[in-house]
Amino acid sequence: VNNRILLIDDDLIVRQTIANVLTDAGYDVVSTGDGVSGMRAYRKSRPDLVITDIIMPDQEGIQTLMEIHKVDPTAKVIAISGGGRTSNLRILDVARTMGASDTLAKPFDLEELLSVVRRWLPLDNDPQSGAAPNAQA
Amino acid sequence: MRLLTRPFLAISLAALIAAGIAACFLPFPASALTLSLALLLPAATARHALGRARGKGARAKSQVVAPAGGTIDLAAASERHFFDRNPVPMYVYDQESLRFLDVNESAVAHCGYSRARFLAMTIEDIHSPEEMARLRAFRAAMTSTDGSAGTWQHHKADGSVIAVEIIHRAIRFGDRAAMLVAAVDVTHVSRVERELRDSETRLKALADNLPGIVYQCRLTADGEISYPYCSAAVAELFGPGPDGAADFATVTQAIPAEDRLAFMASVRQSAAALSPWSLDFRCRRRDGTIAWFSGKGRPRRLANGDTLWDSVLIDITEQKNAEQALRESEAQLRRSREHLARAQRIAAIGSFEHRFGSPALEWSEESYRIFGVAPGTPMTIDAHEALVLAEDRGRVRDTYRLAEEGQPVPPVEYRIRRPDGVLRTLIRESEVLRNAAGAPIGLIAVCRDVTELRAEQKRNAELEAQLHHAQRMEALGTLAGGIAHDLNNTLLPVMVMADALHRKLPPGSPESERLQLIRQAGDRARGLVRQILAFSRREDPNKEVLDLAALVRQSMSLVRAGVPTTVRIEEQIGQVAPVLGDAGQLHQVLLNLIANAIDAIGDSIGTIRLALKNEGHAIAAPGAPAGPCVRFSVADTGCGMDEATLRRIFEPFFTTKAVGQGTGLGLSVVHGIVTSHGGRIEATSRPGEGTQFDIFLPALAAAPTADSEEIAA
Repeated sequence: VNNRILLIDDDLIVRQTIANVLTDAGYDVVSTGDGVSGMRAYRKSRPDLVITDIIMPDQEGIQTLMEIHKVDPTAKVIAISGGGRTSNLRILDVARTMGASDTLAKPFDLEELLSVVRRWLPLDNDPQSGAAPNAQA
Repeated sequence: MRLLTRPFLAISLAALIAAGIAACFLPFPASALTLSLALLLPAATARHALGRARGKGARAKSQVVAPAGGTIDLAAASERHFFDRNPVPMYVYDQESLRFLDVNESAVAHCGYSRARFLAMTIEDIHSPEEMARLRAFRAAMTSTDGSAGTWQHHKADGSVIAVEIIHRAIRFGDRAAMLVAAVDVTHVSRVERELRDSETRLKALADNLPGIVYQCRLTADGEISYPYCSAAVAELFGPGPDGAADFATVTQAIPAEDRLAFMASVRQSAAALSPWSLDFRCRRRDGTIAWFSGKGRPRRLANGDTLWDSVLIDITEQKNAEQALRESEAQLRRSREHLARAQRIAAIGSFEHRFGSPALEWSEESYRIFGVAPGTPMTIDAHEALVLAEDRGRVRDTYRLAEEGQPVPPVEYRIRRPDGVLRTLIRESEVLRNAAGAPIGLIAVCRDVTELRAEQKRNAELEAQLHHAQRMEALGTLAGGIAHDLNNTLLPVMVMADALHRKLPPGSPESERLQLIRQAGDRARGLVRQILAFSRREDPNKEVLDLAALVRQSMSLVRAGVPTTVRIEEQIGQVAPVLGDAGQLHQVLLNLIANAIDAIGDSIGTIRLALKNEGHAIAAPGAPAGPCVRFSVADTGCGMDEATLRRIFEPFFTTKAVGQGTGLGLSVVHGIVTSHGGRIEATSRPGEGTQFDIFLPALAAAPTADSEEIAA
């Protein structure tokens, strides 16, 4: 079954919230709190979708994104961010340029989250899921 | 210089007399001539003592000189004739009685006494009383039988006095020891001689005492040069000549070799043109010092073709030294003045001086430049004051008043309008001038044009304020960014979990409604954070070439629906130059400003005026050079604000609105966007009179001039 999601976010509550609702929605979620352990988990379990925060203390999401694509250039990654603390860049635009399949600006609501996740990883038994897209947007 | 030596004169005079006497006798027969010459020429030296007494009673004592030999027989026809017709006045007197024994025709004619009268007189009768003592002494001492008796004065019958040269010879006249006398009238000759002698003495004294050297220079046709005469002063300065006498050659030898050619050339030139000679040249004096001499001479051509100058040489060393010192001093002064003028020009500091009681104001060159007045224009206190702006004149007058009172004068800053109409700001620092007694007599001042300095200071103050503001905004932006990030993470579980729970509850249940409230609060918080993020977003806008007029019209078509009916909108949107900008962000700017204006008008009736036009020469961003800009203005007729509020309106979270009515971020966002576009925003407002925002964005290229296009509200 292709329902495995790797969630990388340094914010524990955010991590728990997203994991909770996605599990509820029928996904198999593994979560880590930083890019380094996230990469370890990715290599180990090869999830069907990665959701990664971009601003994180140990390893930036952008770097994680690039490393994932080194392992699997077709890997589907959704970048999420609550905005730059100090950076002048539009982080999510950068993530998209670096190969992110989709982006979500925090805070998003449940509907926004589910619709993006379902777009990239539809569940066979989920009537709300649409067809999987052929290519990255 | 003409020079007649005394011996020469004496000889000439003697020769003249001899020649005159000889001429008298030459036409006569040889015997008489022989006698006469023998009688009259001063050759004999035999001396005879003759007793000669004075007056009638003293005759026994008269000295009688015995005749030298032979007799003159005036009775003899030939001798008689010689005596009588001789053109020289002659007479015979008795050596003892001094009575005239005989006189010739010439004596009668010359002296004016008749023969009979003569014979009744003695020789003393025709002599001047002043000469009587000399005559007696002479006669008493007379020893020679013949010779010259020297010059005497005789009285003529008409009372006039003549000078006579006496030549005499003792003779026997009948039985009497007599004296034959020839008296040649030398009155004229004697005066000439005296005058010449005086003149010669005078000239010599003059030549010797002149403060210089008098000399003659002679140049032969062959080019040979000699110095016939030179005054004594030359020896003092240059030492004696080879023969020990004053010699001008010592001067020419003392001319330094390098000047000698010029000296000789000047002499030759003067000779050739027969023009006055004049030359200043140097000479080494006998003490080794170099002296300056000024030579002047007047040439004349002699019969033999030689040229002779009568010249004078004056020592002008002191004058030359003084001239040199004066020249150096003047040059020094000139240099000092030039330095001063240059220093004033470099420092752009002018100076001027004023003496109390005089209307004049003495300006330096730089002062004229500073005041824009033609250099050299006479300046007065009034003319200066006329250039000073009326409101500043009092301050300027105070400086004179204080100086006249002898008080220290503080620096004064004042404005002038130059004759070309340009307004300048000057600062003047003054000092009181005092006389020896310490009383104030004037004022000296320096003035500096501080127009640019003051403008720069003002600009700097503005820039500093802007920098300060920008730094504050930056710090606040960083803070806001940090807060936004954390808030976003915090809001996410609130929103997502509220949704998740909401789904699990039956619709319409009280729990479901409460969860909806949590969601609404989350949404509002999200909106707030988005605003904060927009403010803190400092990345370059996504710029493209924009037509602001089109953008404004498009935005307004969306906005108009939300504008209350009590607010009228007037648009004055002209064709403007294109700008580089982010359409979305600029749309946000317009929305925020309109929203702000609507809030300012509130429940009242008001108007919002939008204007868009080109600005040919404006400053878009602080510190940037002025250039073509596009100006977008939003003005409202709302409540306006005071200065304190106006200063803070662009600060994030600053708001005058009631809690819940505004975030305090709208204008901060506007400010951030405008700044990131390289533009500038200005706000002007007065309480109760509304507010106007002007945004200046740099124009890409010049656009057609703003034919404003009125669009009805």
